[in-house]
Amino acid sequence: MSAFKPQSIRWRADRAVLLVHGIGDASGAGPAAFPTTQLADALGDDADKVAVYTLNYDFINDWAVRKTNLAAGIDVLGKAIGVKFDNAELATTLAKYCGDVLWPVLHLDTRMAVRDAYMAQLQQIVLDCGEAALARGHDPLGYRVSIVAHSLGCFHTYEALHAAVREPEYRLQPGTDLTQLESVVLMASPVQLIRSVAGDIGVLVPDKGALATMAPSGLSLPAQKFGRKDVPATRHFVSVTGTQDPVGGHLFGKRTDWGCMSIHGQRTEIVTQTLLGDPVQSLKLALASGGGAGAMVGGAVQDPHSWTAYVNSKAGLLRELLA
Amino acid sequence: MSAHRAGPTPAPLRRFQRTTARAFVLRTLAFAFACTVPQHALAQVADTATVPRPVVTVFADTLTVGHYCAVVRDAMSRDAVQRVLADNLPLVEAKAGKVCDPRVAPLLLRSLTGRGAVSLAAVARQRQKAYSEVAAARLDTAMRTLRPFLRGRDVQPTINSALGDSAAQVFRAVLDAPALYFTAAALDRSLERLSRYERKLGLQSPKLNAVEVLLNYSAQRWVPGFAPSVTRGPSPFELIASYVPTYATVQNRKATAVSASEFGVRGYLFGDNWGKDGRAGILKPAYWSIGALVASDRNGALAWPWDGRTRTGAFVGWGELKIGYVPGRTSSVMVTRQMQFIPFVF
Repeated sequence: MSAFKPQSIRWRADRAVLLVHGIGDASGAGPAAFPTTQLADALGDDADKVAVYTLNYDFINDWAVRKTNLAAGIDVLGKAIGVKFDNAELATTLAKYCGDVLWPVLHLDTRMAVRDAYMAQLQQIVLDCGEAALARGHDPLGYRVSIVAHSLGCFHTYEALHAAVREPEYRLQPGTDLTQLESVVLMASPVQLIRSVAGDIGVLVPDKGALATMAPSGLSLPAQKFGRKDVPATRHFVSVTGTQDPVGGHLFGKRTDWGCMSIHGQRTEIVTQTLLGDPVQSLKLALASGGGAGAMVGGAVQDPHSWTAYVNSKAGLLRELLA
Repeated sequence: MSAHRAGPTPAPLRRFQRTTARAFVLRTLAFAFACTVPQHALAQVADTATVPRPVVTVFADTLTVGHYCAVVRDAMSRDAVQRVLADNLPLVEAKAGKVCDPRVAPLLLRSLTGRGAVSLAAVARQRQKAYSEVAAARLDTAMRTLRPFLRGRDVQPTINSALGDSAAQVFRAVLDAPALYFTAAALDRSLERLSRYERKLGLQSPKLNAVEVLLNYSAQRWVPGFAPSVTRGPSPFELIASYVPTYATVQNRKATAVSASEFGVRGYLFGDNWGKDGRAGILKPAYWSIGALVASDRNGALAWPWDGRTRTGAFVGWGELKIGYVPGRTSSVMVTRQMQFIPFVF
């Protein structure tokens, strides 16, 4: 069996949330890479009632980097970027995370491996939910599961949900398997950005048909065709992005059509942001931390991509959806 | 991996069996069963009702497709339920008919995932073990189709009021138990696929050079059998096109280095018993390889294979150990170990 073990939690109440990490070394930082403290603050008295799962997939990217010797390529890319930024450390960081973004798009095995890890975690959550409900004599369908993803985690979430509704193999079809999620919150989603960039290099992208991000019909809310109706993968699909966050599709305070995810039926929440300090330093911090804990340094630098800051600024929304 | 593979119970399923509901639920269910389904179908459940065991384990050990059928038939006999099913009633009845096939009634719910033993009664009746696998696949489909119609949010209030609280609780548990079992089996399969990816991409797998990266990228796109699949995971095959300066042979009673180019295919061994570490890895490696070998007649480390007279032979690999043979006037058997000297190059 795989070294990856999906997290299993005994539910204290009737709800759970899965936090999905974005770019950044979540493996190295461990639980600290996830804004669990901020989430608990947002949920207040209900925090104890929510089972919090976390998922990162850096280890799979690391396999691919080693297997294909991408490190050598990253060095070359880092040097090229370094010329532009005049900052070798930032260049290397940028190059590594460019690789993290590109792998799932260009490398089929990596894409499918990340998906299987994601599905295994969702399947484990369904089992934990069933166990908890049956143990109490409750109806498992009355229990609620939500996902809060950040950055590249939004891309994997978007792809995983589309695969879940499309592929019976995963046993996660919302209509057939009754596994509809309560809510999905995508923070700083690069899905539209990846769609735009991958569209430009489309000829290089293998098995485009299996990438929901590149669907010819455009981005869509994942839903299973069940009989005569569409059963959405989630009851609430929310996109949160900041006005200074380029990953979320805003540049210098303005929304960009090529970068900002806008799906018919999604609820959009915009966080007004003001940049403080050195923007390059902000970017480096964001990449190094994946936007998790430590993305802000004494308040002197505001990281527009910080997951922590998103959770803090949207505490009310999270309480509304998760508590 | 087959969805109905026989074999030892994997960890997620075992854990699932261990940690589900407790005895009070079982007693409630047993009592409620006694009120809602025929007595002959409940004999086994009643026998176990005094033993504090997780409810799903009890379902798996004792409940059969016949019990499932009885619960479904009972719900569908209610006028209110028939009314709310409306246009879907014919489909639901057709699927219920498959679940209620008397030939599969003795099958244990647990056996539907292929991991539990089929009951002796079932085997005796059918006199062929393979029947249970075919039946399980059909029952899986039928139960999967039935569940959303009978457990969906639209119909559940009607079921609850038609059956009453206790019986509705039993109804939910019986319909959900196999669904959770099938989810546990799907989790096993996800982890199995992930372990295959790990074997092919992980720390123990051979690194690829630039040419191999491009070749395998192309093969995955355009050559059947090289792309990963949703159900099977990664392809076991990988193309080899590498320059190997580390072959060694004995010539004139002296050990001599030989440089060669390899063109072939590597096959990964995905079974649980393969991919061992250390000495065990010699017998049970993670991969094999086979292909053509091109070497120059001028031996030596870092010699160009097409320099001078080129000799073409073959190589086979078993894990990291590779043996090559090139025929000709100075024919030789060569050995080497799988390694990469210069990242991205060879």
